[in-house]
Amino acid sequence: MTDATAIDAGIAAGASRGLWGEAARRFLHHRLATIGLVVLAIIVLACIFAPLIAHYGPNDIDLRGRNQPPGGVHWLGTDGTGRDIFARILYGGRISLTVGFVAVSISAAIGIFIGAVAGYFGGKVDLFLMGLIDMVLTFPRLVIIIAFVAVVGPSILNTMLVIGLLSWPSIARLTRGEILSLRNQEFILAARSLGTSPSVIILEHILPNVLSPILVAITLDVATVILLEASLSFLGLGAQAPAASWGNMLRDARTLSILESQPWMWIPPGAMIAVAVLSINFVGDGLRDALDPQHIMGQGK
Amino acid sequence: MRRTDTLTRDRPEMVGQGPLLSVQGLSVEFGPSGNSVYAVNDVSFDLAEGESLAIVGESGSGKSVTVQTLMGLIRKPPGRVTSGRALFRGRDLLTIPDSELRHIRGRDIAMIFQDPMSSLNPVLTIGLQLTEALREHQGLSEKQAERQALDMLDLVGIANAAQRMQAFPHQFSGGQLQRIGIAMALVCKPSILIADEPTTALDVTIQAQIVELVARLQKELGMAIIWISHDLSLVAGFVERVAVMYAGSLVETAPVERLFAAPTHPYTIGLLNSIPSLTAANTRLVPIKGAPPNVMLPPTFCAFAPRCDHAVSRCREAKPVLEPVVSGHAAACWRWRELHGVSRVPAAAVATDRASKAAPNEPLLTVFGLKVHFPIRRGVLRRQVGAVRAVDGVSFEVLRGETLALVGESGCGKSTTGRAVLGLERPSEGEIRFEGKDYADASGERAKERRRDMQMVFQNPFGSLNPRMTVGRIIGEGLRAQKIGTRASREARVSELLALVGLREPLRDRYPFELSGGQRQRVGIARALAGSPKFIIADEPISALDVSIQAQIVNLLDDLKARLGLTYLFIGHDLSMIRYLSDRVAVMYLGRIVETGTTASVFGTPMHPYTRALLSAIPVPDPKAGGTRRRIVLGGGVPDPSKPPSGCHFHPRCPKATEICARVAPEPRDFSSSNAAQHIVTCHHAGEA
Repeated sequence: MTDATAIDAGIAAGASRGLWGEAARRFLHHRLATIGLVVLAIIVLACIFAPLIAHYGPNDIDLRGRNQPPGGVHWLGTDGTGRDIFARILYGGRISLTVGFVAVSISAAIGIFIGAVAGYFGGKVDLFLMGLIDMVLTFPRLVIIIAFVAVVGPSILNTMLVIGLLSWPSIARLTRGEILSLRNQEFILAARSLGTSPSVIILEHILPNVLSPILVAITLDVATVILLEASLSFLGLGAQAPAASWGNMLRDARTLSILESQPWMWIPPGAMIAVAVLSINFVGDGLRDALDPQHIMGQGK
Repeated sequence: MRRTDTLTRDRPEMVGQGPLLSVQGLSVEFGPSGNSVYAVNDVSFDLAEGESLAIVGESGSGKSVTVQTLMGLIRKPPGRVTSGRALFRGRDLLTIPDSELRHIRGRDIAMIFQDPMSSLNPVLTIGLQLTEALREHQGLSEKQAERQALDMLDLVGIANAAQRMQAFPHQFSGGQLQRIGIAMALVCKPSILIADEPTTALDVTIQAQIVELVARLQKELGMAIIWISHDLSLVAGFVERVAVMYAGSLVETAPVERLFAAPTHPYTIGLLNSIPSLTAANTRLVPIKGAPPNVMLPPTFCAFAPRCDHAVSRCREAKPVLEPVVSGHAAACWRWRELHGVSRVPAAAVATDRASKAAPNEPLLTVFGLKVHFPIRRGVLRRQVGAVRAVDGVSFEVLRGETLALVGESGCGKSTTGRAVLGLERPSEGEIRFEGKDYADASGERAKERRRDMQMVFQNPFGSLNPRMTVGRIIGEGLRAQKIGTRASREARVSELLALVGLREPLRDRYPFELSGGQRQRVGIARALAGSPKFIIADEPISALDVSIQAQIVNLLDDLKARLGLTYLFIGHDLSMIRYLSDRVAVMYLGRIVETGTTASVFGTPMHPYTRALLSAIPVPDPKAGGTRRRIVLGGGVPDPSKPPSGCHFHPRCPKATEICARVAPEPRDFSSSNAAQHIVTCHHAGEA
């Protein structure tokens, strides 16, 4: 009998990990995603606990130690006004990451709502909303953002708002498509035949099943927005001096003499952008594999 | 005749010495070693020139992987051939270079696939795809290739071939595409044709056409065939030898008559017991217990042991190999000698006699003149330009306590009818009366009442359960939605339901992906029963399951019916199963019912030409009957339901059609010999000699 139970184990006897447990297991099997997650966690924690880690404030000026190369006192050196690069990287990370997460939250909220409405109600509502999505998608995003910031004035808040307000169409489109393909699944029919109300169908049956692809898209969007914020700050339209962000640190380092002779001023912020974006992308890829509905919905050929 | 001559041209190498193809000890694994799926374990078989061999097994038995490995079609990685040889005319297909294998593939060994649509390139005309192979493998000129392709299309029965050469794959029906797929495989006159479940995606009547075609072509062209199938009955009629696979291993191989007459491996015996026999009705199906095997375990024991009634400790300790039973018949079982003589149907004692039941005659459900039309809208303004007449005037009764089967091919409107009865589709016209209550346009309180009266079991055990809910929540959903009972009483009811459908309590907290197909279908049944309905609509509840599991579910439905006093509307297309489990049958064709009557009268004396064709297309699990039975093979496919033919919808395909059939739709007429039960046929020519 022991053999029989062992053979049965795959289906019956093994400890149930549940759906999220199963996804977590698959995620952790993805080596790059795990590395990405660890690196990202380190970056986020370091930025949050910046005051405990850095010995200097981001705007503390050490007049006697300007343009210092990396060393024992200033780990990553100082810039032209004698500010500690390491401290500015950590504090700047706060801004870059905040912009990334907040702007994407705004766009995800709008996108999921519009996409869900279009997908669930269909018909004329869908036609109208899809028209709106196509229209927004035709806007050249950077030009609009620059124009907007030029009118209302550059600030972190404005940057987040405008990026959030212009980035939702891709998420809306994804949500709508997912809902359209779910609407005809037999388990939705089954729920209807059991008398489940539309609101419960949306909350219990539809949303949990569309969430995972959307989560993946959102994660990847965060990386895009961090890059966008960096470009805006580099152009002088994002975070304003003296506040640090990775983008405007690059801006401060854009003269030829610094590029040639003081690489510690531009390599760290550049590397941070690259590392953060890369980690988020790895995490996104890992999530995509871990949450792939093919694994969950069954092994249909 | 001249054509046949050119096609069976002599092959110098054909003079037989040894087998054409010899597979020896083939093993294939997938995934990283240490965590691999043992897909094929030590499989050996020979194929002689011109022989037809069927490899039969359930999903995951490794039958497809075996032939795909021979053809070099498995992806490596993750696939790995861990041992074995496959000698084709003395050359090992597993070691020759890709370039040579490519040459053999198509020219010497050709393959047809389950899904004809995806095996043809959608952006090239079929003429181009057919001639391409000829020009590449045989170096023919364009003219010659075209002529040969035309001949081949003619041979597989594509009418108007010259014109159809210019058409694209989407312009053909599924059956026609499979014919083209066959033409494509055969243009270079291969010596082996491998058919990987080529009829599984097709309707019964089309399936009969394709089987007939392949059997004929095999004779005309003298090639060998390997036919992969999950359906023992289907292959019984036309192959010479059968190899049965289970969990990646060959468990039995025998000439087809011998296999059906004296099956030796307990799995083969079990499979034959789970198929309803067409001759002996009224015996209960004997399913194979348990669930499909776990191929993640290394094959060091008999994989069938956990499900075998005769397993002893030795079966769990070592893996048996194929041993000859008599010449040409081998089985891989430690105990075949002792088990010899275990009867094929050991459980005849549990036979249930349907006929002896008190004849029910009070209608529970009456459907009259039901129509469901789906509008077709075009253009920016979404104007209605037509309608798909999915259900076009259907009337029937379901009597209390009986099982009425609604039968038909895909697209005939049987599922839509079921959904309309339940209220998942809005009828365009017609009455739906349940115990005197009119449910056709039910809303509000009426709709709630309808949900308590009737429920549905769905077809797809993978798609019909929300992957993100636990089994317990799924089963209790109806109770929550209809606010029946308290939280505690609902929990208790879920436990009761789990026991009722034969699931263990711990499964309550599992998710659907952790269950097997049969277990999922049990969950679907428990969910439908939660609110204690009187009437269950079962929409093809077994067609997505493996053969050995189908019988389990059918028996469960049977038991539940008896215990709970249920009435079933059973929607299906597997006629042998329907004959087994239904009391009365209604046959549908293109949105209308063409024949209704008791199962005995419809199957015994079918009167509508469509019913006759449908019945004659049922594969019989008996190799001897296959040859003698007269098959009515219908031409063409089911027409487009948005443009149904005039008069009788069936007349373009009907062998008996006359001028009146094209003009006037026939009225239903009763042909029963007694008043006890009606036998209603909708045909102008029914009852004529």
